[in-house]
Amino acid sequence: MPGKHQDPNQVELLQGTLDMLILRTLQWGPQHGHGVGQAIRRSSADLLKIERGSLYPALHRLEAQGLIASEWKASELNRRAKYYALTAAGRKQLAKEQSKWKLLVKTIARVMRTA
Amino acid sequence: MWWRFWNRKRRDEELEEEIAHDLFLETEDLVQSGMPRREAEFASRKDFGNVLLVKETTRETWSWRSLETLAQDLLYAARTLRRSPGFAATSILAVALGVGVNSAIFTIFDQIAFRPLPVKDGDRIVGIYETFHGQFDRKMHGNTHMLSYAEFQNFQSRNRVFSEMAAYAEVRRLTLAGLTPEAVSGVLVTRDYFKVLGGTMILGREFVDEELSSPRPVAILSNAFWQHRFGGDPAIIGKAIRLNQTLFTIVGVTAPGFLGTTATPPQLWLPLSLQPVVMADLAPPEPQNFMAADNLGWLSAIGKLKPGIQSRQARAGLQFLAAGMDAAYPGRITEVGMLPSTFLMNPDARTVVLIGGTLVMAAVGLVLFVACANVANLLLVRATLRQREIAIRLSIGATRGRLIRQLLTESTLLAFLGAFLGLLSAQKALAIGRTLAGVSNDLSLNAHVLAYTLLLAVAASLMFGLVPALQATSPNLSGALKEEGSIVGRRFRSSKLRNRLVTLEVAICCILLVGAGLLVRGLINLNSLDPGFYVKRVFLTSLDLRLHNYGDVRAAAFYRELLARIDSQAGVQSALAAVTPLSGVRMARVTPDGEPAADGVREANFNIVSPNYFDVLGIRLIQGRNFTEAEAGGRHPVAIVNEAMARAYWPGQNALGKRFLYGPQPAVVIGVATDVRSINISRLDGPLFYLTMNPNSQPLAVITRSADDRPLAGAIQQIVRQLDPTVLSSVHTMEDNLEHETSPTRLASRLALLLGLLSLALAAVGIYGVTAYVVSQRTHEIGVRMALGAGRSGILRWMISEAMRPVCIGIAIGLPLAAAGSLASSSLLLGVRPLDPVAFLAMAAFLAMIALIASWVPARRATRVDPMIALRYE
Repeated sequence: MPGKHQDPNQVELLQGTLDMLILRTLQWGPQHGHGVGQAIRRSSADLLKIERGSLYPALHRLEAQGLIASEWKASELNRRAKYYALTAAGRKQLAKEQSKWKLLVKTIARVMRTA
Repeated sequence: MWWRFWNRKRRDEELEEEIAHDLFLETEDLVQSGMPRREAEFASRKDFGNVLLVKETTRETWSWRSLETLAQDLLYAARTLRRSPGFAATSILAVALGVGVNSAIFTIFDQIAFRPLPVKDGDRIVGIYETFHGQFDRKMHGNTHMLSYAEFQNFQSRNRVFSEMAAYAEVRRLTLAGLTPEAVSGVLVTRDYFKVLGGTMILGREFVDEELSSPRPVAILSNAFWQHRFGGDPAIIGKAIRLNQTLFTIVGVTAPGFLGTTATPPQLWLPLSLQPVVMADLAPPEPQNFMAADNLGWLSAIGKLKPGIQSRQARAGLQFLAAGMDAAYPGRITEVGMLPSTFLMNPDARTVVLIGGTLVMAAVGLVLFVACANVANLLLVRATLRQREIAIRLSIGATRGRLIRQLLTESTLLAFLGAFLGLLSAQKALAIGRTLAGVSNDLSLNAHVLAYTLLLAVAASLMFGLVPALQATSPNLSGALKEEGSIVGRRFRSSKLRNRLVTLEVAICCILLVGAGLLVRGLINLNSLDPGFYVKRVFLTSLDLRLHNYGDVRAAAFYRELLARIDSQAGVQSALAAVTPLSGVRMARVTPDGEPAADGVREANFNIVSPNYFDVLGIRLIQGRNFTEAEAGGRHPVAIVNEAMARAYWPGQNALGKRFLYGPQPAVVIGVATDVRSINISRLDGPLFYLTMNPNSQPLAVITRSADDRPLAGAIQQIVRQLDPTVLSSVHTMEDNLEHETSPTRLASRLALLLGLLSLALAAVGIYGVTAYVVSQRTHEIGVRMALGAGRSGILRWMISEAMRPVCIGIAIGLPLAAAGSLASSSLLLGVRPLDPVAFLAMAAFLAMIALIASWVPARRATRVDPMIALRYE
């Protein structure tokens, strides 16, 4: 099993949120698979680590759904890399997911406060 | 299709590159943070995880993934099978055998019982029958569900549910005159018969009203008959043929492919009004003109539903009309029934065929089961051989589901290849059989058969594929990689399963063989049975002088002269009879002692015979006397009854001198004859009485017995020709009658024997395969035993007893099952008791012997093991 010794501070990714995170990451511009993984990790201050075994299937699934598009371009180290970018549909989907997420967080927080 | 593979290849390469790029960046990051390159490469790989698994799960997200996997699995399966051609050929052949037999039998079954009539709008056509309830008295010619002409006319003229209706009746006894007279069958039909069925004429026309309102001898030929008897003569219309001595004008020839509504297509169709002409051989008390008899059921009816009318509504409509007819017959309740149009629209016959067909389908299903058990066995052996391959694939990340899918694809491929081959051979065999039997029925492939075969293929693949696949991939791989280890335990487990499969095969085979044994025994018994009258050297001549406008006096003179001339040959003696044994029955209502029928009507069979009938056939009179010549010449109310009738009507009394009425006529018993088997060879006749000739009852057949083996047929026919060259005679033997009587049993026993032997061959292959495998797996063990002093015969005994254990258990399971099946279907067994010990024991012994041979051949190989080589091995 990959990644056996996990940082105890790392948090488990909530089910179904990976797609949203990927879309959000791509909002700043096209990125390749490795870059997406790194970006999520960095913006979560190393608390979230995305397994490649989840990342790549998710990227390909989103591409098949038409939410992101891919293009082969030269990367920063001058190697051919597959860059993913948000499509119009992806942008709409991200907006939807974000508002849903905010509502969820608010609701859960309220429940937890009153409990 | 190819672009997909190409596309797939490119996508695969891209994914590869994407992952490589990820690893590269990761490594670069680590290198920049100061890690040595080699270490960085290793660390990034470790961080990434299982590359193969990531690739695999990513591929899963591609939308056309499942189809791709299927294609990939199929290719892989095909390659694996090609690498072991022996295994592939054996399995495919076994499946082909099993599926082929099933598919062929189903085609016949479907054609008779389920396929709508092959005519335009066949699914809009229904068969109409009647069932009677309550107190009623109905005459019939055919079966109890048939309509009378008056009933049909009532339905036809007053219903609002059918666009057209037609009625028909089969006529089997037709003789077509010619250089060699030919027996043909015809169907009497009403005018709209062809219209309902959408049958068109290739030549001439359909029947017209005048031909139906008054008897005019016209006929329509079937296309096949026109082709083979008249060479497709284009000028046939208007020509005449002579049928039963009447000249018929041909008015039409049906288009090819029109088969009518009867299971055996007739050679010709005649207008219904000709019934009195073509059935002129009926003697009183049967009515002569069926069309005028309002309470005589003799017609089958069909109707074409009007658009939008369901058969349920149609039945309600006719039921209403039938209630009106019941008013004329107090106490009778008619229930109208309908069946979808098939070649089997008579409900009684349909029930018999459905029961028989289900039994046959069950038997062939069992053969397929044996075939599947065999293939499962082979797959188990293969799974053991492929254990390492499977273990490796599991350990490098293949999921169990994936491997099961792969293995199932392999077995499905086998099943479909086998089913395809089976279907092809079934079609071929049916085509050949159709030509040999001269059947014109359409037995070609249709959607029903294709669907059924597909279903069988899927069922077969699951039957033999699932268990071996589950077992082969059972999560126990750590040991398998270690070469020896748990293999022994695993081998033990799968060998137990293999033995169970052999047990199953043997049990099924035992059931089929015992079934065949019972039928064959029945047939032998029937043939060696003493029917109570002479069978050998008895010739039966049928003539029909009625059709030659012979009056009764002239006919009597003709027969006197005929018998005198036949009997002038040495050792030859002839008698006359209305019905010859084993060729049909006559029935009459009988009221004993002249009392009116109070507690229901009783029926008895009867025959009209000349005084020497008993002598010629060797039927003994045990009481009273025979008819006298004087009685045969006049109208004397005398009868001879058989023992069964004496017992049934006058139990515990002397039947002699007793009086009874048959129909309205009185008779007095003058003699009692022994019971014989003249109606159904498998049992003694029920109540039966004999009347003697009177000037009004013309005999129909001459029964001649010869003292030696001289063939008499030619001589008799010549004598008939000398007397009257226009009279047609047909001569056959009593043995022909007997053979005809036993033909269904003969057919059934042949089929059962074929299926039994087929399953036996399959089971033998299974036993052989398992024993051979065990021998090859235990070479080491055998070597050890031999080294320790076991003799060759000891080894042989050991191997055979190992192999025979599941066989014996199988027989022990199969015999009681066969007994249960035999008891349940005992009504179908003729001439043998359902628990006939000979059939059971002989078949069990036969099966055991074949099993012994099948295990002895490979077991002998075990005795040739050289202990030194066996011990050094491994």
